[in-house]
Amino acid sequence: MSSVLTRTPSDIKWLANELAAMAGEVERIDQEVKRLQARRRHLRGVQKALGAVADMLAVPQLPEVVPPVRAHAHFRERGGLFGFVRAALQAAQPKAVDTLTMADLVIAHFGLTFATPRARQRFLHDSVGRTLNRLYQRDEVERLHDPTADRHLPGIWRWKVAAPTLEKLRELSAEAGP
Amino acid sequence: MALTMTRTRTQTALTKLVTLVANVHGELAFVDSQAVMLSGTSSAGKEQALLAGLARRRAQLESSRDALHTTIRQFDAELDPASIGSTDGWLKPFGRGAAGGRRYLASLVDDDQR
Repeated sequence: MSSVLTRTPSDIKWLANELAAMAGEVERIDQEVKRLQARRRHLRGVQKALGAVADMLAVPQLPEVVPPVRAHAHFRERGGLFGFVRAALQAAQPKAVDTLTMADLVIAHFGLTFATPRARQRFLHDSVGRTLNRLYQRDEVERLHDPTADRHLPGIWRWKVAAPTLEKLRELSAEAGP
Repeated sequence: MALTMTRTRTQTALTKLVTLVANVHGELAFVDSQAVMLSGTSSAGKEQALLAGLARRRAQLESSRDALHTTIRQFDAELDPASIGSTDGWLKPFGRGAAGGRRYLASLVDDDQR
């Protein structure tokens, strides 16, 4: 009498696992290729449109003479850093975030590496600092530090919410009367 | 000319692009109005040649408009190029007013006959 298999032999189990993993990886690659092909088609269309505008501006040779530039390599797309810093401040609200912590968050999120501590410091000041200042100028964040005080202390920033100030509340209370 | 990684966008560049769009919108509106006016008239050879010239120019303008709209959206995805108005700056090379319009239409027929 033949015995009925109740457990899958480990060699077949291993083979099945590997086959499933390979099929999954190929499927993932196919999806990525499909996505990249669609993006390529879109970018070609934009490139063609920009070339047509170059023609209108009497520089039809422009598309042929400009070399490819890998722009926004660090932050994936235009506005990548700005968008991340903005979202991080919004997520932290009502708490504030200092410039050093924000730089750490950005570095971890985008997987940035720096050849020297000086390069890291430059990134902190030039990229992160400027982005935070831009948000401040747009009145989207408030500055909780005194920029004229100690320049070596990191800045502290908080996302601004459309809540009335204490002074405004006092004014409204006075207007309403006793 | 040094290319910049940051792809700095300036108000001057945007103004230039918007002016181009406004000119194309203006010319398209003029071409359409002339085509509507002519469509009810006689089918004489001159009118037919003008209608053909208008149709050909319209196709060119549509292509330019689509390219410019794509470019404006590339400049800033939040801008709506369809909301840009129209100007008659495109008519300047032909002179202003009704006489300019007539010269413009004549150029379309001339182009067609070439």
